[in-house]
Amino acid sequence: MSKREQYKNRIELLQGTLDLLILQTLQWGPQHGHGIGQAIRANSGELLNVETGSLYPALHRLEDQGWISSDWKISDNNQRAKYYRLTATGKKQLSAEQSKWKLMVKAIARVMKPV
Amino acid sequence: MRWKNILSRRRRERDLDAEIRQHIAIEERQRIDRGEDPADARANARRDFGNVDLVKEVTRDAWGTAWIDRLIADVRYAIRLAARNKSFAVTVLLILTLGIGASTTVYALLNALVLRDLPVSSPEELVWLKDPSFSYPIFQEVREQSGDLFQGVFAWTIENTNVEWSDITERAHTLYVSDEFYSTLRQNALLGRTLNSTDVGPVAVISFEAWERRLHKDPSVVGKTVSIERVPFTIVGVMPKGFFGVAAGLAPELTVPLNAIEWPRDARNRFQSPTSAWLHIMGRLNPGLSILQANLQFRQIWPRVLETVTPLTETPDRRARYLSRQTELMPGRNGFSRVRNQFGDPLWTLMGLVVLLLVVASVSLANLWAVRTSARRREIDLRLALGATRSRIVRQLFTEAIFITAIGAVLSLLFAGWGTALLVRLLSTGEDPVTIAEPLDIRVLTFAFTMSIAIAAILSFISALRPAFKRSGADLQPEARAVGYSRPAGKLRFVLVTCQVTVAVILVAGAVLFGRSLYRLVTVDPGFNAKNVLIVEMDPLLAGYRDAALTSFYERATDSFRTIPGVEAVSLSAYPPLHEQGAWTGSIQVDGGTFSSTGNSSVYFNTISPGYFSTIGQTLLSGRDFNLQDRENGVRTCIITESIARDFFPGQEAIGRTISVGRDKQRQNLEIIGIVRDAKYRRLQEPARRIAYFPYAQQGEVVNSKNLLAEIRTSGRPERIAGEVQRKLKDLDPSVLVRPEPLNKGIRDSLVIERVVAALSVFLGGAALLLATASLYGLLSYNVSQRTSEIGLRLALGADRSEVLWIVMSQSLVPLLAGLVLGVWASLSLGRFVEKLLYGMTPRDIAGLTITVVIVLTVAVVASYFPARRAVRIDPMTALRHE
Repeated sequence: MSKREQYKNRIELLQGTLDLLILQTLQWGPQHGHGIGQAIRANSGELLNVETGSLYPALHRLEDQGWISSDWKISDNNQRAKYYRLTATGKKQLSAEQSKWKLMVKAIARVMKPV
Repeated sequence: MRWKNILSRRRRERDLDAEIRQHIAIEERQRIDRGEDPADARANARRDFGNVDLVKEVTRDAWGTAWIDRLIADVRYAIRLAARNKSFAVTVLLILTLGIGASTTVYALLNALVLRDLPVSSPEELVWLKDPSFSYPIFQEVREQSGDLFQGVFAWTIENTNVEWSDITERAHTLYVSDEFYSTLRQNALLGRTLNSTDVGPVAVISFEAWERRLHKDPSVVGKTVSIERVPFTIVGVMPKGFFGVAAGLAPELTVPLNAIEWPRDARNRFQSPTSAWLHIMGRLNPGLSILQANLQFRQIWPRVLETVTPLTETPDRRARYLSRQTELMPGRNGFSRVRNQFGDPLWTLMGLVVLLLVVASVSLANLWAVRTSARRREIDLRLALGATRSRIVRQLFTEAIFITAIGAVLSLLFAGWGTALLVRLLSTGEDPVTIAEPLDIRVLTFAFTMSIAIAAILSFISALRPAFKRSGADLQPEARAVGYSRPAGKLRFVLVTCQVTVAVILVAGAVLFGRSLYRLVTVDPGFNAKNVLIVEMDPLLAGYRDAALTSFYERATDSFRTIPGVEAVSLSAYPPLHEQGAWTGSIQVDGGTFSSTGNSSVYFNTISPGYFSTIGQTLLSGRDFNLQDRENGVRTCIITESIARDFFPGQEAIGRTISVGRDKQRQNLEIIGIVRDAKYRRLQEPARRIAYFPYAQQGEVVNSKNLLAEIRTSGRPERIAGEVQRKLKDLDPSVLVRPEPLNKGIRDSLVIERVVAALSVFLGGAALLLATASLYGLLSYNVSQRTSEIGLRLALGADRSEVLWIVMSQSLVPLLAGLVLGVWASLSLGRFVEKLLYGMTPRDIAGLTITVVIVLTVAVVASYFPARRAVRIDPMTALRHE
């Protein structure tokens, strides 16, 4: 099995969740790819380490779907970077994903609850 | 969204590069800020990021344009491969073009002439009356009595006419239609109006093509005139492009009211006779009426129609015969066409032949493709080993197959465009041009497309089935690494070659059969000598000549022809031999016998001038030719062919006896004064007819109603004096239309179908034989190359060279013999489908099949000799070292 396929598998595994995490992160304001990755890692208490091979395809896909948009800006420490931001439809999508996620957590929690 | 992505691909690519570069730069900066050594920070940042190229690739996948990248890469690869192995690519394209192109060509013609609907609205409601011609009174009665059967019904006929445009006079088809023609077809004019029931005067509608060709799309065309048979017609409308009427294959430029047909020559009244059949009848059924229901109704109507039109004055048995005439409504969605009746069967036959060729071509392609894919096993294994997924490689092989087939399809369409034009030209003769509007329509394109897809699918299938994919994993297998010892070609290739030989035998047998049939036809003795005879059509009736003036015109014309240098003899006749002038038939009785409708007393008639037999070279067996004694008021005379003498006067002397022709007042008693050899009358394909000849001086009524044609025997090529003939007649009377044509040319034209079928079947047979032999050659060559060491060993051990020759050549025996047996068997069973197209031959043509077998055997043996010779020349030492 080639490396490429391993990447692909992980994307598939994380797909819905990663999208949610990215949208959630962008809720606090525009951010570049590196920053999004770091934010997810930090906010998850270093539990989630999003690989670039998953992150960038997800960002580009979300942009194609119109949930986020991007433009080049100069960062705080004077570096050029591509910043992503939530669009209006992205915000709607986020709230939909959030409620779906809550439902999912509740459902799984019920199933997993020891009898 | 997607298309925007495609357009901005380059920009996105650059963007992605920068994004990743900046990601690493940010990471590096953070690491430096955290106190890492700058050099370490850089390296760590890179490592942390991962494989840049891989990230790029999976990100690109997210763009939704990945398939395009892959497709472009695959097509590029296919082009590179084709360029590297040009001969392979060229061979494949040639075979594709030949196979698909030939079948598309024939299908295009078949589609245009036989299958395609008429270009009118709801063509499925149209019906025509089977038989196929009717008299005008019958048409009138059908229209009167059909009640609510039809929404509209019309009669039409197409005639060969002399048409004068402002700049040119030519022979052209003119369509004569009854007034409901356009309303029934629901066809409007592009410009001006169509014909309708208010038209009584000379008005004409012209086709779009005529408007374009003759009048250069003059927008003020309405009101201009064009002359048909010297009668000026006012143009009232132009039809839309592609509307040709109801007869596929014919494209009359002019359409005029039916009654216009009588105007030029007032000699015969076609509209009164209840029995003379010259009109085709078509109708549009009321909506919702199926052809079955319509026929049920029509069966009630038809006897009433006959009852009304059949004159009570007829004798009872003739009346009974008229009343028993049968007809029915036929589906008319694709119209009724003489051209279709003529070319339909030959085209279906040709279609069968080209499909067979397509089979051979596909098998050849499959063979080539299989060999090629095997040869690429190493490459494919290598790519698997380097990490390509199997699906990726299969996709790439598919792309290759589809890519080359697509190019082949385009070439085939070009070939078909050229081929249909050529075929239409071959099928057209001077008098009867075949015209097809838009031969490559959507249906033909679909046909070519489907064929291409089928072939692409076969090739893809072969690629995907190759052994390289039967293994899993990406290890380099031993076979992939070395040439090694391989087995000779498998059973499948033998089966494929057998199949090709079989089809090649069928096609060669067809070529031999049609070739021999044509040869018989060309060499058959027509009973006269057609060489060096010029037939001159003249139209003095149109110029107003009648009776004595007419006779005098004919005499002056023939006299002036005689003065042309190189002219040996001149004569006149109403029906020159084999001239497609129609036929004149009737019954004769011997010595005043009574008429009866039973027994075959029917013979063909002709009216001729003295010297006719010597001019066309028909031998006078006994008695005398007509001469000046056979005047109008002299004893009525006739000359008969030997078959009349044999059938009507068995064992008796016919000369001096009397025959009677005609009925009632027109009854004539004619004394037989001579007997001539049997001759063909109308077509070379027909047997010799029983013919009675009358002197034209005694047949005033016939001469007043039908133009005579002149026969001129020349010492050299008859074409040479054609111009002089026209000049002579112009001197005599410039208003008489004249058209000279060598008799031979007319006969050649009448064999157009036979010639085209023979030529095409020879072409197809040759192509199939070539492909089959090439496959056989390839098979043997492959086996020789695979068995080099074995053969070397045999030679080293002292095998005789002739023995080696036999070892190789015997391998072709099985496919060859099996193919021959199957092919001969198939030819015998398929033969009955082509029986109608043969002259003087049966499809069970043993001599022809023998020739076929000899041809195929010879070519195959020659083809297998070359690989065998190569085997014999193998140097034992080299071969062994090679191992």
